[in-house]
Amino acid sequence: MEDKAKVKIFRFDPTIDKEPRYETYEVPAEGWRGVKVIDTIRYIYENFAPGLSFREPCRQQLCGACGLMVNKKSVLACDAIAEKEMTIDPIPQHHVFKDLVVDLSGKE
Amino acid sequence: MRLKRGTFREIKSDILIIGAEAAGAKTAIEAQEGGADVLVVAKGLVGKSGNTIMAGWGIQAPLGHMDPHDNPDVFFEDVVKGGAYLNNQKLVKRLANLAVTEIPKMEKWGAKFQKRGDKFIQYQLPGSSYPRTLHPVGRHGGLQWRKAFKAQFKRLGTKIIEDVFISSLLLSDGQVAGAFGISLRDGQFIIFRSKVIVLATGGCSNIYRKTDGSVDATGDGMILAYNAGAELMDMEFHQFFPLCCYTPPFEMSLIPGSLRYELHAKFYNALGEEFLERYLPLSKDWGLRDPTSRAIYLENKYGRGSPHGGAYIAVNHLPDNIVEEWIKRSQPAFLPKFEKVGIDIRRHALETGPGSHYTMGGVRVNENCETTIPRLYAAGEVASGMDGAERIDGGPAITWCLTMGHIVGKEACKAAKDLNWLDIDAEDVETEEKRVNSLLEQKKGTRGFEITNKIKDIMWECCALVRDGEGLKEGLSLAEKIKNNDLPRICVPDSSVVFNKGLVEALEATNMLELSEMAIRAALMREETRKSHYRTDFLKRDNKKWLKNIIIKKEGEKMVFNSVPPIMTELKPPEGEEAEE
Repeated sequence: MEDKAKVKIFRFDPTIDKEPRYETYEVPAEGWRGVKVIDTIRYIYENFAPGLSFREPCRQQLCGACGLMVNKKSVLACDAIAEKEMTIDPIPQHHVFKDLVVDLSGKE
Repeated sequence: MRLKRGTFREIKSDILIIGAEAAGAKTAIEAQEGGADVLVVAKGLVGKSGNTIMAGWGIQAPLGHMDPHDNPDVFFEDVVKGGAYLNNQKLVKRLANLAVTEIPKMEKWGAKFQKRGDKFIQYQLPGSSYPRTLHPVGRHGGLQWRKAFKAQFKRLGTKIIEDVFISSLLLSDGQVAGAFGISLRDGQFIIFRSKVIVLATGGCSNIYRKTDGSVDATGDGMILAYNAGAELMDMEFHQFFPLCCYTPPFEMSLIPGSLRYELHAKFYNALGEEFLERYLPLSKDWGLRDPTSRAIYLENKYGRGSPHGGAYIAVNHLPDNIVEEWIKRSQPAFLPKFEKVGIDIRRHALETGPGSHYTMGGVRVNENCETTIPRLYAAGEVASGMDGAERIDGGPAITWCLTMGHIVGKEACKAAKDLNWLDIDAEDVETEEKRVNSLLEQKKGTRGFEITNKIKDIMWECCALVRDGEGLKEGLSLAEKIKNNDLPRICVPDSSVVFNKGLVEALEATNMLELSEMAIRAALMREETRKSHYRTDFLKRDNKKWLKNIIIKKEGEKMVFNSVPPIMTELKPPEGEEAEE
């Protein structure tokens, strides 16, 4: 029980939700300990939230598509190591298409 | 909830290019310069998806800047011998010649390369007779390609639609007339109508458990072509790269190629033996990717591998100042990451191993990059015939993208001038709409990623570096089980129409299952060993029986296999059986 991480994720589906909201997921050790943030997000998607939208093309810190905020710090989800308490937001000042997916068109 | 019925957007262009990275970008640039109205669609974000950005070590071009003996004819010969004569020699000849003019264009467009004065510094990598690989400057070369293409897109005002999954091609009397797309941003279906279509969608390296490629590399374009009736070729040939980081296990391409290509790193097994000598007595540490990968795989089978199933790579045999100079010169981003876990490359070995890297097979094209269906072209890794049974090291992948993009851009432009738009059959559109919506309606069953995970394990076990008839047959029966039991139950649990990852993964899994079946069946059929295809039950190369390409075509619902002699216009192999290194 103690080894569970508390992961709070920004959720917003413009076709359904009026307002963005947060969902909190309790992730067992295998889904967060010693792995990257992208792996934890993927774990949540596979096990708890099949509707969660996020990007993960290269997983090698090259493409930059998985950029997001972890505890208000901007990171690449494929680079940052998962923590026991995380609040995950989309990168700010970008139009949110859904959940953690924002409009990055034309951005370097 | 279903995607919005009857709210199709229709978008018309002269040329539709599916895929926006190296091959697609180069095609678009050429076609626009020729005056065509071009539209590019991408499954993800431009410059942030696919494998181009990962292909950072270099590009091959026979410029002869480091050794005047190099030229397009030698390049051609290296590629054809490297591919064990299964290449389309007419195509390779054209590409080898075009490389001289098309690769330096990247510099004009803003990509920066290592140079000395006005000469490019060129590196000689395994499989090349002379130094031929241009190496981009900076932390990662992929970013240089991105910069160059973005500048051209901007200059030409290229129309690009991102985040669109093309799920099928639409035909008119056997000719390509358009494509059916799902806009992930708003859940709308889009009907693309164009005079010609270019596939530039990349390979399917993601069908294997371990891969250093992008998760986007699901071979969608190969299946688009196959379902439309086009022929695929050489689908049994997949390349594995021996420099994937096995620990920390979560970053496959953390170990840079430079360790090998610039510092001539040495490989060791768990006993400290330089084991490559056993498998590759001639080339040793300087072997091609597949034989090197295979040796690591076999060492593990004999219990001499590293803890995570790989081997060790180290540069500590070198004098300190050589390594320090290299670090200063290339500032590798991986150093601090290893230091964090207590590994110092000056003293320690890194754990490395094979990962799926590149697809030699793909859509069958001629020397004009035309597929076997009218109005459909293919460029880059989605196509076949460039590499035969094996791609040589050192960056021909991007070379093919740029040279084929050049050919297709010009050909498609010329063709589009004389063609009209064809009518699209409303029934075909309805059928595809139904297929996608029925996926969305199925809420319970097997999810796309679950199917993909099963496929990846099967392929890694039976159809990767070491193959045999028995294993392939077992793999095939497992794949058929998935096809019969899981595929009909494939589900998309979430109902949102915006960025529905489950829907995309279901479509990709369907494609990958089909591609895996092709690979296994073709590997089973090819009863010999040839380069990347290694059969322990047929260890010799058999030029008498198997100097052939295996062609795959869809007839009705059947996957039909045939074999044809390769296009050999110049180089011919010795007759009879040959040993493989």
